[in-house]
Amino acid sequence: MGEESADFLPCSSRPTRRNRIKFLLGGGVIALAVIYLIFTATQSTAAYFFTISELHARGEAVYDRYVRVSGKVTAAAIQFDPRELVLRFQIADENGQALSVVFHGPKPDQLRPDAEAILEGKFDGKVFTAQTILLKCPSKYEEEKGIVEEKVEAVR
Amino acid sequence: MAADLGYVALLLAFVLSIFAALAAWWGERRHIIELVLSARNGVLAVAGSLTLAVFIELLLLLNHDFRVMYVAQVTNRAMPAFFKLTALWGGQAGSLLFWSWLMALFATAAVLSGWQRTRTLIPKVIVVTQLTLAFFLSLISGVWALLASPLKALGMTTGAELMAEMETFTPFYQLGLTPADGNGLNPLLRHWGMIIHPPLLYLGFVGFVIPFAFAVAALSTRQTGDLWIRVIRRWTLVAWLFLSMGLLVGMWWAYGVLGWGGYWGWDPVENAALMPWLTGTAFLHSVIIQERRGMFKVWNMVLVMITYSLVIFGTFLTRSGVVSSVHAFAQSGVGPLFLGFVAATFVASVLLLFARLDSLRSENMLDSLVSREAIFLLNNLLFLAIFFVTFWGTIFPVVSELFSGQKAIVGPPFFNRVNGPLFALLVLTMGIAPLMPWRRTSLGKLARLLVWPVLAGLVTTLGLLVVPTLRQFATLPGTSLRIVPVSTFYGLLVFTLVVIGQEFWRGVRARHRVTKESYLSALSNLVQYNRRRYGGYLVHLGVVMIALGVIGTNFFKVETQRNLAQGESLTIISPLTGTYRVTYEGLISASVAAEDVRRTAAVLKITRGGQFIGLLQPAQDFFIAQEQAMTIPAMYHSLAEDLYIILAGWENGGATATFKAYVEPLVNWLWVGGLVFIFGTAVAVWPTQAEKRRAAVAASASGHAVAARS
Repeated sequence: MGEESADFLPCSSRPTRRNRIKFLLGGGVIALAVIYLIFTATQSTAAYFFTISELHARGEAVYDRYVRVSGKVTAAAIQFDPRELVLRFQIADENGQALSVVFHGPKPDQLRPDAEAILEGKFDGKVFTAQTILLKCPSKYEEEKGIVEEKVEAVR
Repeated sequence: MAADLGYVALLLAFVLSIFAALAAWWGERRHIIELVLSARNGVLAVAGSLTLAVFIELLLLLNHDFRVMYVAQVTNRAMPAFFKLTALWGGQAGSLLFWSWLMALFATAAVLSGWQRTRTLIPKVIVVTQLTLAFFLSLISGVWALLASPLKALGMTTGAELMAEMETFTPFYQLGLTPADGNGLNPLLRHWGMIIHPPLLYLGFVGFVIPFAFAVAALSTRQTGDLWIRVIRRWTLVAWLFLSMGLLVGMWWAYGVLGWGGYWGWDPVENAALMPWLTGTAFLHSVIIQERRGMFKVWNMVLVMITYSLVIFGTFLTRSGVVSSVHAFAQSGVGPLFLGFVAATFVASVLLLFARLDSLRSENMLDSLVSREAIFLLNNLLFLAIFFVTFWGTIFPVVSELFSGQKAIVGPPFFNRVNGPLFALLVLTMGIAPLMPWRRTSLGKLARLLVWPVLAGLVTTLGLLVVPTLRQFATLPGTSLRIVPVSTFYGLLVFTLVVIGQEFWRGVRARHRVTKESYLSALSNLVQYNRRRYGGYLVHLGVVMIALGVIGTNFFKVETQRNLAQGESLTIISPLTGTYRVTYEGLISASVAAEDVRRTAAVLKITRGGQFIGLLQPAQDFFIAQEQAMTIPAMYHSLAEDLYIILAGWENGGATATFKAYVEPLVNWLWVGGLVFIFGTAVAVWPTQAEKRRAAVAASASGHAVAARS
């Protein structure tokens, strides 16, 4: 580009220093804005991991929050209405605490008794309405440590 | 037998890489040219023995030698030979072997190609690349298991157990007995997208080690002038090209195979590949400032160092399972070692940087806020901000557990909400930057160049704001259209598009006037003689097209799900074209090339606006050996949108079946834009005639100089 002029005059130091302050200020404002964005977005979107017992213990404080809860699918009570696409099942933690779950969507293949389920959604005190179901089943790949994951999402 | 040979080749490569690093270091320190030469030969030998190791591993995979644990883990007899070969990077140990092999090849290329022109930097380049390589080889050669008993003696039982586990973590580890058959490759990975995605990604990752090696070499030998910057520019571009392709192919695979109607989920593994891309892109821009004005030297060093750390961290994230991810890779003892290595190299580079700060003085100051330097600085801040947001979101589960004792995650809404506006600003800087002259300009001059782009952008935004169909659409259920951000974003895109067009037009017109060439040949010559600049514009054009698709799918996407009896249909309204009607005709069992797969497909009749447009067959593949089902989405493509349908399940032999349907507006612009993006990068990377001549002259000149000296 031929736009450059041969400007060999030494710059006086004052405007440069003023520039520097301007740049630092500008950069600072951007940094603060980004930090503010991160902070507020984290607060409003973070989904806390709870065990079923914790979820019950927290009571109303978590009723309208998007949370993540995990447990094992219990053998009884897997009901699926394929016409209306309503799936109801229960999960339980090691203490035997149970949680009733409803999910609006197709039934995932891996949803079997004893599968480890990680649910995201909201709890209203009675039923947990799951937005996503992540199921982990033991897998043959990568020896016993491996897992097969299946993730399904409800439609908005 | 063959496995033993492979293991020996691997061990040899490990030992040789350490030797090469030590020889290069000591040879340079003591000015022993023979040692440096020997180190160079060591680099070649490492590449040679790793090539042998990879070759043997491929043979083992092809011959289903299930006594080798890795072979049994990732292949089985029924798999086609082609997939057996690609199983080399289907599991952890194999993919680390593959990584190391690519690293060795890159290191060889860097050392050989830089031998003449950058001889003074080469010893340290050997040190850095070979130490990095030695670390990776240490993981898969089982040497860490040697630490197990000393650790146990010291009473560190957990550490001892983790280290003892490393013994089996080699692609050549042999089981006591031979299983009858192997487990086979994860069905999700049996797709051409997943076959070329990891190699591309790894080439990108590995490629970024070379600029880092040159940066460290330049810093530690205080040769922080033009030399290293010139050398690494093309290396960085090549690495960046591969990483970009890897990301795009990964998205394409996720969209076409995973069957959730999306292509990017802000999953830790995806973020792991995106983060070095972000800092690498920032570097590609700010390095231009260093070349032109001798500024931002410390900043550039920092970017190269961060990118290197992120490359290693990314490999760690994908290979350790420290952050839970939908990508099915398991937990392993590799994690702590990786973290240690990332921390050590990062701290070491920061210390080196501080020790050499005096040699990185800026030659110029920023003159004005209205200058290209200032815009580039803003662009860098934005890239870093997006990187930081992504980093924060990725490690948030770990951070929250550490500081509040309560594990929490942030999902796509977090990333979209914070990164969305930042990306919009980035598009704005992308549009303005080419119009900004270096140093300073008057606002009046700038305003003249801005008239048409700003006008076009404003008309687009205002136009979209008042389009009645969009407004109606925004109120429909199952959509997430928000008119104001969408209109703003598209306005910015049009602004940038007009700037790019204007730049091409100004260049072509100037050439046409001076050389009297036809417009077409003026265009091709313009690009040919200014590859970097116009290649860059093409990349920007690709970004605009990609953004078009990303915004379309994020804001206009429609989804629905229904259970249908045979003969029933569902409807889905497209915001751009018309109403689709999807009628379920029945279930068929279809055949697939692979013998261990059973496919069940639904036949769907599709009409749009009452017009028949075709049949679609979304399917489920059942992998018999793995007892695993996999959904195969069916799509109706057009430039306006994709109709994307998944067979989610069926009852009573197919009397009823459940479908999910998505309309993905403008999604194909994403893929086409990706091709333009890659083409643009290739244009920028390709050496111009002048550069080739200069390189040849430089090579022969330094050859003469060497001859004269000796």
